[in-house]
Amino acid sequence: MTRIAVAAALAAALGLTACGLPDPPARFAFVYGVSIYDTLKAEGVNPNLTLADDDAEAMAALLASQGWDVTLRTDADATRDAIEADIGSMAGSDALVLFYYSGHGDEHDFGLGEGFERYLLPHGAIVGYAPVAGQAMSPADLFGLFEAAGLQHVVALLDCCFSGGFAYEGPTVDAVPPSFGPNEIPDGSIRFGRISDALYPTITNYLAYDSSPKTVVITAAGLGESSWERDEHGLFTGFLLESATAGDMDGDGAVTTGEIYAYTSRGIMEDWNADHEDTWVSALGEYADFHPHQSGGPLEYVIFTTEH
Amino acid sequence: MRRLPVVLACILLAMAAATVGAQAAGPIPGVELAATTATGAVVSSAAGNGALPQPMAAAAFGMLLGDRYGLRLEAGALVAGPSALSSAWYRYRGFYGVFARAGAFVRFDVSGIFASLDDAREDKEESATTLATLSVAAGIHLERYDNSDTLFMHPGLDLAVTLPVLALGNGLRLDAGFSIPMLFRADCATLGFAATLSLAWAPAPRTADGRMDR
Repeated sequence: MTRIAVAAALAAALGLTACGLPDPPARFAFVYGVSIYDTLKAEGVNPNLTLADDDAEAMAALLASQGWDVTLRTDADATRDAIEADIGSMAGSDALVLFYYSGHGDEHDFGLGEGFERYLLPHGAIVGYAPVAGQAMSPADLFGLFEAAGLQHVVALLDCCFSGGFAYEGPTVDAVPPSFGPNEIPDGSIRFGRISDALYPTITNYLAYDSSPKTVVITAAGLGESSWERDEHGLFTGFLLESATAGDMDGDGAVTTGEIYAYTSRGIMEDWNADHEDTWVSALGEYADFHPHQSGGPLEYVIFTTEH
Repeated sequence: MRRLPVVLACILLAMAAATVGAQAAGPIPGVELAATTATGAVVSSAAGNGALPQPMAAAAFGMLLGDRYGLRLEAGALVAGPSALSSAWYRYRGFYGVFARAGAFVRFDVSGIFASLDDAREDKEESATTLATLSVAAGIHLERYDNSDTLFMHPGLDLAVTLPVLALGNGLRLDAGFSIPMLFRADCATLGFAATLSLAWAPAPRTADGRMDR
């Protein structure tokens, strides 16, 4: 009997984890891309960007083709008010919600008692060349929106500078430094090559943990560095788009947030950082290499399917 | 610091069990080394989300110090695959890592229950008893999520029962049994069940007064 019980338990466990994809839940994607901050200037002229709106349009098209219900807002339509209204419209929903943002990010102290913080800068959040308090969105602002709407299942994909400030660690430790790269001071190489070196910081974070946002977050860059764009898209978004067809690492037909992180990280490392780790950008005071970050929660979500 | 009591409880349990086990083992305890594999499943559940099963496997090297009861020491590696997908299209992330734990064991006679296993005992001519081993150990796990650069630590507890199933000679013995791993992750509760298979080796038989028989 004992052997039968053990065999039954094993079979049940393996069977339950080997099932195919369940029917998709209700999925809503809110996609924002801001290239134009100053309407009097052309794309690409500071403070305007060039490709962020293209990123959003490509992402929206991909998600729509995957069966997501997509709301796309670019440039002057992608304001903080619009974002708040969009998320607010989902109040009480148990749907899977994807928040995508491509545009400027910044690190700033508005002197409002919040200290030095990282921000998303939707349209209207930059006047001249400076971020605007009340229009810029901090991690607390963004996660607070999701929480106020009572959303249970949210994924945020952020392609902007300093976006690592949104990738909370929770009880975990992120081995990717805030400013990635072997030339950074202090050394920005990925830490804990020996897993035992992570013992002290992981114990510290375990003991200090109280709670963390439910949102699963993947960011293009660390909280202390810029992200970059090339050719048709931001580098992160370019690999994010590719991951829909090439990112299914375990071959189960689903591309999860963990697989997206792994695919975009590898792409940026091989296609950009390998050639740019020694490129010093004096205007920004940093090297041009960067690395995505991922939040530290226990869950991951399916974003793309390879058969749809 | 809400998790401090969990850590302290595991440390105290490990220390208390190890102390009791070491005292029970005596000054020249019997020693048994074992390589153990475990395969099974854990069920994970985070606040606000449903429980889902994850396949798991573990391998460990350990020792038991003592005869009928004593000290259990063990270190090894554990792998948990990602869970099944929920209807909301989330799943619990797979992870892998290493662990070390200490505790205590006790052996008790189960001859009456598992009489059929007596045939596998090396010393069946001397004694008809079949000794099951019940052990508990607490320790620390250091893990990494799949597809990530994210590491985390948590205390863990392992309850195990083993039975001898095959004597291989020269002190070697094959044991089978089950274990119940409990992983006290900060943001997720994980409890499991695994079938275990151990290759155990007692270096030398012992005399009745506790001396090693060389």
